[in-house]
Amino acid sequence: MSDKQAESLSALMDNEINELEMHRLLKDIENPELRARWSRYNMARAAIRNDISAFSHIDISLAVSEAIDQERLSGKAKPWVRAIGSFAVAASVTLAVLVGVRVYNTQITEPDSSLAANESVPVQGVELPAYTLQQGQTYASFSDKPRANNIQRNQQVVRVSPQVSPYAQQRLNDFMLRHVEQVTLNANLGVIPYARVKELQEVAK
Amino acid sequence: MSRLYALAMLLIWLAFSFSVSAQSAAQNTDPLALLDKMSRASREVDYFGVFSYEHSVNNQTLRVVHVVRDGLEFERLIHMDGEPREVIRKGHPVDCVHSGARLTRSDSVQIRRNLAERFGGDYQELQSYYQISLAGQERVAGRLAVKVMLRANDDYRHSYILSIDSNTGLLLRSIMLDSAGAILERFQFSLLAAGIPIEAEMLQAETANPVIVQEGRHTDSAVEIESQSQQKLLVNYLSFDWLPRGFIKVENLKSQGESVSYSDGMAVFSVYLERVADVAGVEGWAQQGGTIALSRRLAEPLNEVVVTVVGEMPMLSIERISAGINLNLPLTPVGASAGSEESQ
Repeated sequence: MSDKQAESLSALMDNEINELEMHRLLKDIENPELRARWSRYNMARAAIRNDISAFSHIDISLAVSEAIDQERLSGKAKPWVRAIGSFAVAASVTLAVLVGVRVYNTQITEPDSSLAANESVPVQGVELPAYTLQQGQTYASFSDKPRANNIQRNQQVVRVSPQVSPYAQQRLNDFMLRHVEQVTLNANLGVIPYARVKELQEVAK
Repeated sequence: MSRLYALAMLLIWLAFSFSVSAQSAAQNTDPLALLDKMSRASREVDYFGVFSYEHSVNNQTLRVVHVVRDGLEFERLIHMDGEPREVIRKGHPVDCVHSGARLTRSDSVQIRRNLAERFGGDYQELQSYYQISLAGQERVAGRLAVKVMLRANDDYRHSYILSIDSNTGLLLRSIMLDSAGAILERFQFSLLAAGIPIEAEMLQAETANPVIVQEGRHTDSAVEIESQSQQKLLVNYLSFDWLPRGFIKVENLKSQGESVSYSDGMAVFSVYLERVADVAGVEGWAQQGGTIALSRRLAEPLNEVVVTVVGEMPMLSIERISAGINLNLPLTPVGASAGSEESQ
């Protein structure tokens, strides 16, 4: 461990480290001498501030990062299981929220929207459905201001899975195009299915 | 005497016009009647107009001409932005209503039950998987529209806010929302003319190479079904561990290849099956607006079979449907059976 690193470590303790130094330090984070010094510095500071604990000498950082790696690996192994598992949690939260909403939001009026063209004059006595977020937040109606004007935040027109090959993307597009005819005949949405076609054709080119 | 006669006529006329307006008023206060009206109008009414379609950061404008001639639908869609493009849909009989489209019609429930029995799938009333309600009136494209909300009862489908023209029943605006209430796509007319004669010249293609779709050619005639099973198509051995409720199987089409499609009346998903020679890098998914397509290979020994699920549904549903797909082939490896068929 160099003097330069010791200096950087000390600067980090004092919250005066610059970004470049920080990166160098992080690159060398596995170095046991560096870790030992970092631990000593922290213990010393804790002792000075009088908030030292009986467990201060135990370094759990490696165990934590190992556990995180494990999690990533098992997540990769079974994406289907993971998706369904996370759904189960989300669904239970949603259910709880919906139950809550039924009780509390029996009289909701539509909030004014800043998108004037988007909204009609609220009609008296019309009860609008409450809407939920999976995180457990509740939206009073479909037309809630912060979200309704924000058409899906992703910036791409066609979003694809990470590391999808151009070959797979081409095929997926072709299937989306083929599917349009079934939508036209089986959902009564008039011209909408074919309006979706343009970008698909462009991607397919 | 003639005065009495005139009075009687007046009374009859009044009673008649009152009953008509009462009827149309009743239609506009019953969301199911409105959906029924919309379902018919989108196919049966002659109209032209300009509309926009947007999702994520994309927004485009199109012009449409839709007519019914000799009982057949004809439609031209012209893109107003970018490269000139035109899609012509034609040839589908207006009275040929596919199963999915029937779900939003208030025809006799029995017809739909029979369809479900015939084609399989889980028949349920539209109201059991969407909460359907009226949400007042608004003005869209200079016309009076009635707003109908279809809020999904589960997380397996999207929700919709539809603004339906109170006069013709045409869909003037549609917003598709995910379970968090975020907008996935928005469609909206800015100009619409309906119920006026449409000149023949408006039906002429105006771009050099229009895409022409000869729509809805069926494959479910008895002869074709027979020849299909003789060919031992993969699709004949397809089964699902799980389907979102309310989705019924719909008619197959020539254009679709080895596939099945299901609809709940608002959303449709299709499952495509193929034997793929080059399976490396074939898996993945793509999303555009509310539509997701996902491809995966089946497990050994069917790992050269790729299943692709496409639908206007949440990833949750698409993944679950895809994960639950089985091919119950009676013969051992697919490759071997395909090979022996070819050699004969």
